[in-house]
Amino acid sequence: METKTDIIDNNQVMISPVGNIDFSNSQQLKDELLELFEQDYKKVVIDFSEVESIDSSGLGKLLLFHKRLKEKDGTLIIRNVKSDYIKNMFEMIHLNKVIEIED
Amino acid sequence: MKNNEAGVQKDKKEFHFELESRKKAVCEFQAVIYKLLPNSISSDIFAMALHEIIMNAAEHGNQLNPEKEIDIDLKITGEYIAAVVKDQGTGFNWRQKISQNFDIGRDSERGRGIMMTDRGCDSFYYNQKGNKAYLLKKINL
Repeated sequence: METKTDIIDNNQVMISPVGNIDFSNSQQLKDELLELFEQDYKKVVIDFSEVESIDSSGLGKLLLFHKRLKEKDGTLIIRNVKSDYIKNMFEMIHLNKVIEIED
Repeated sequence: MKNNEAGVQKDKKEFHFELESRKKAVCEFQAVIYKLLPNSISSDIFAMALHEIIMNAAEHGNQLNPEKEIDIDLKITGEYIAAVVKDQGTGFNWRQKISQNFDIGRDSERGRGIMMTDRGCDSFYYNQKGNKAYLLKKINL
């Protein structure tokens, strides 16, 4: 999985993973998110426009990160979900009740 | 990975796979399944559920030991998709896992796969020991 990071300002950052977020690479995403966490960004946007699929191992990392960010009064936003597979999954598990999902 | 197609009827296909307990093999297998399933939302959800169960079989059942295999039987008919996933592990208390309330936001980083599978399938259970899973989903094309 390839990821691109765009720093928007001192408080905001956007991370754009490409491909599948799964069992084989979710640890990498976790490390990248924790690095942003340590840099004290208050708003982290994950751009899903080029993510094709995600599994529970990837979701676990996002939810953990969301929780830690919230503890520091930060926000995690998932933006631009394009894949129908992911849309269906997020809907099935009501992810929007926990993490903010924007179009 | 070996694949023996044993489909007999026109609208019924049966496949058998033996998968290595490696993270990469498990993730690549998703693409194989995708190509076999009919194009529908039910198929997407089934593919997601099957991946979760194979992931559990590889990690918790076979402890990611590449010498241990995961046996997967897949049956696709015009009405439903079903799979049986068997690992070489010692099993687990699956009834307790399934009976937990579905709460996606729970604190743990892990442990959502089983509950997601239960939610996504029409029928989902294990053998008594907990090393052989049975999944079924009706297809709405």
